[in-house]
Amino acid sequence: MTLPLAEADARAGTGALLEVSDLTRRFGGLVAVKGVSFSVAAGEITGILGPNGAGKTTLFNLLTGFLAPDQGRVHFEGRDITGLARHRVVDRGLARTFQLARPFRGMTVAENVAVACLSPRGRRHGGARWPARVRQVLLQVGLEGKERVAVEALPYGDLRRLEVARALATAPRLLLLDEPFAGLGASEIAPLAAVISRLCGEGLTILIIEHKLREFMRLVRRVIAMDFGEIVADGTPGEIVQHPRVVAAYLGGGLAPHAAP
Amino acid sequence: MTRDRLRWSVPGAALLLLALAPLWLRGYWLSVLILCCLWAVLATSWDFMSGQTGRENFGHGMFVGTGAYAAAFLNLNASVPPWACILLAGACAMAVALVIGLPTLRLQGPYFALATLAAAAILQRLTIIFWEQTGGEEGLAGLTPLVGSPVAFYYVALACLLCTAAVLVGLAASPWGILLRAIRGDELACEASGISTTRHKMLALLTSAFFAGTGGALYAFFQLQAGPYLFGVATSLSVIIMSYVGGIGSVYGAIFGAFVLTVMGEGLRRFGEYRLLFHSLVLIVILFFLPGGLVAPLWRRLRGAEAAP
Repeated sequence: MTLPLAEADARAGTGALLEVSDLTRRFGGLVAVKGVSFSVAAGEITGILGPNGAGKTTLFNLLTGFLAPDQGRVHFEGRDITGLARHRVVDRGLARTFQLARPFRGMTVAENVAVACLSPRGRRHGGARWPARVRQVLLQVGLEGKERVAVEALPYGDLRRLEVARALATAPRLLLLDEPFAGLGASEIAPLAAVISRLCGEGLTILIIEHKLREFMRLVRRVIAMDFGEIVADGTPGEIVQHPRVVAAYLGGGLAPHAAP
Repeated sequence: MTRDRLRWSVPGAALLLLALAPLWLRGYWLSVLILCCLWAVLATSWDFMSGQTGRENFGHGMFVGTGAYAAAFLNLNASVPPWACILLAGACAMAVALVIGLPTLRLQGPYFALATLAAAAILQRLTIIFWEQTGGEEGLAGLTPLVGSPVAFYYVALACLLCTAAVLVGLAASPWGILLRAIRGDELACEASGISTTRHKMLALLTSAFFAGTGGALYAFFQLQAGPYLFGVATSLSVIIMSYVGGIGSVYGAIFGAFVLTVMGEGLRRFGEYRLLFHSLVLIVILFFLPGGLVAPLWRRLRGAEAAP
């Protein structure tokens, strides 16, 4: 309810919230992301699938200003955000989490979330009254009651939730989750997946990276599959598992043995 | 309840002791106490930038020296009254912070430390090169005394320390303090949370420079002279060592460290420049046995004693 839905409606005419065209990034001789183009509609929950080294995290880094592309543009809500500073990308409404949780050490859970509440965009969306906003965000991810816990004392599963909470506190329109389930056991994955689908139900658009097929199937309605820096397939989860390139990457080529069911 | 009482009673008792100190201390030891207060201002101002955000400034002497020279220059050449000189000195140190900070605060890793170290060395050289204006090695002497007696100066220095400590404790406890500590924790995660880390580091450096500049100006009025040594490595390293000895990231730690090391330094005066060696040895011993500094373990012991009965 605190999500900036009014903004969404105002721009709903164009359909696409995120528009990526011909995005390319090289590291020396390696082309980590090669001519990637896709768009994400508002309210969608989209998965980006691919074996390790497929260019998924590089793609996130390009979208969020952590890396500058060699080529191509990123449009968000119809505006060009290519090359914008990291904190300005967040200010436009595009927040990310990290594959390895990066909490602020030496601080409590509430203080960790407060940092994002106190960002310019966070303040515009209720963060100025930050103790209340922190409680609200912690409730959204299921960390209620842990405000005063030091992050060092937090179990790994809660650190992943904290990562999501901190991104949420910036009141994003698009949330980029980089392998939110990495390192979690089956019993921890289901509740976190429930949190994510609830957020989507509240109107948040979500882009989620995963390299294991299974976690995706229940959560997302659309999957973009990447391999060697390129998009190799784009469709519903059902279509993707049948797609010859995906089958080759996951089963035939042995690129990601851990991904086989 | 007991914790709150302790939080106020310990600094309160220390303050009372300091306020009454001139009843017992005169002459030389009063001067030492004045030096303690002045170094405490310089150390807390360093700690605010470097202790909170974790970006270590190895050239704090540039703000101290700028403050001292600005005050001396304004007082001697423009006949600006001493009190106004002190505030203007703070502003001049902020101007230096802006010029040094804008290009260097974006740098990652050890480059900020190296850049500040170099900047302080360059400013020190400039005081020699432009000796006709700055007095060269001799510095600028003959400032108008701020107050009439050493006891009065002691209270001025103590008041300056109190103001500095009150403002910096308040800022560290404010929401802004949370942001600064987050920068120390993880700069990239901070940016990913929508915070412009460069902007907040700059604001912290400006705050730090203001108090260092006023402290430097007060030092000049204490000595009635501003010398190039204030820009030196000894000044910059002393404030770092004081902060670490007391406990980094805490105003009380920096004050405590400044008092301990200034008194110790006076005791070791006859060893001349070897004092810095002793300081460094003390730092190494303390960091080895008490990596969090002296204040935190003392505080825990006090709290334990309070909680036990």
